[in-house]
Amino acid sequence: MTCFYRCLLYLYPPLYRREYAAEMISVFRDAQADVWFGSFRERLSFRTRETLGLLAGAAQEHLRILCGNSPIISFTRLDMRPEFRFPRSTVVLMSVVFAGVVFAMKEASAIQAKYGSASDSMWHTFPGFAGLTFGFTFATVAIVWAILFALGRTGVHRLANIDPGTKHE
Amino acid sequence: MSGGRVKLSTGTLYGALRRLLDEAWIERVEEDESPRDRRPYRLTSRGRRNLRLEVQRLKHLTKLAALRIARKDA
Repeated sequence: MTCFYRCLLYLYPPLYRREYAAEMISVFRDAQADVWFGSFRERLSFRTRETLGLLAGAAQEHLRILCGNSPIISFTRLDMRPEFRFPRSTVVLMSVVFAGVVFAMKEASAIQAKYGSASDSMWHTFPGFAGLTFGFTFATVAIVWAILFALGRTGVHRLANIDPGTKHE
Repeated sequence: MSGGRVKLSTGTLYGALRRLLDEAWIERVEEDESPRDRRPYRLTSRGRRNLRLEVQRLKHLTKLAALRIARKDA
């Protein structure tokens, strides 16, 4: 397993490997010795955890090099701070927006088929149609959001609960 | 420390250590006798300050949770 572990370490960027590989192997050996006399299930769980941990760690390090230390890709930070989690209502609102876009595309296809030969005449009705679709989608989203806001499910109230005193440097 | 509840892989552990080093929350302790594969780390003053803030935040959360439970029980 140590040999396999060493091979997996080659997935990490070279600089990271030079800095941490020796330590990681040493810690891995100790952890392996701890589970050596454990049950088959414990050993299997250990091996799976280590393999997945290295794969995820290597992917994150490469991503960090590509994107820098952007907070956008700092998944753990977002996970750890509950006020930054998307509320479930976001999924509903996004679905409504998506449905609106799909509806607009379908209508556009129908109009294109209707005025296919005389494309000049299509543009006379297009602004009205686009405005109507936008207005309809906006009104639907506003109504759904208002309902969710009344039920306290929009997540807005979480912003008020953020304590600025706990901001870390 | 967690009584076996939290099991970190070395990949996760060293990812976290690297981030803490980058943000200067911890630092390596340079010791002549420590081997290359055993380098100790310690909290910096910034790390200690942030740890204190995090402890305060968790205390605040547990206090709120306890209040809510007490209110439900009452």
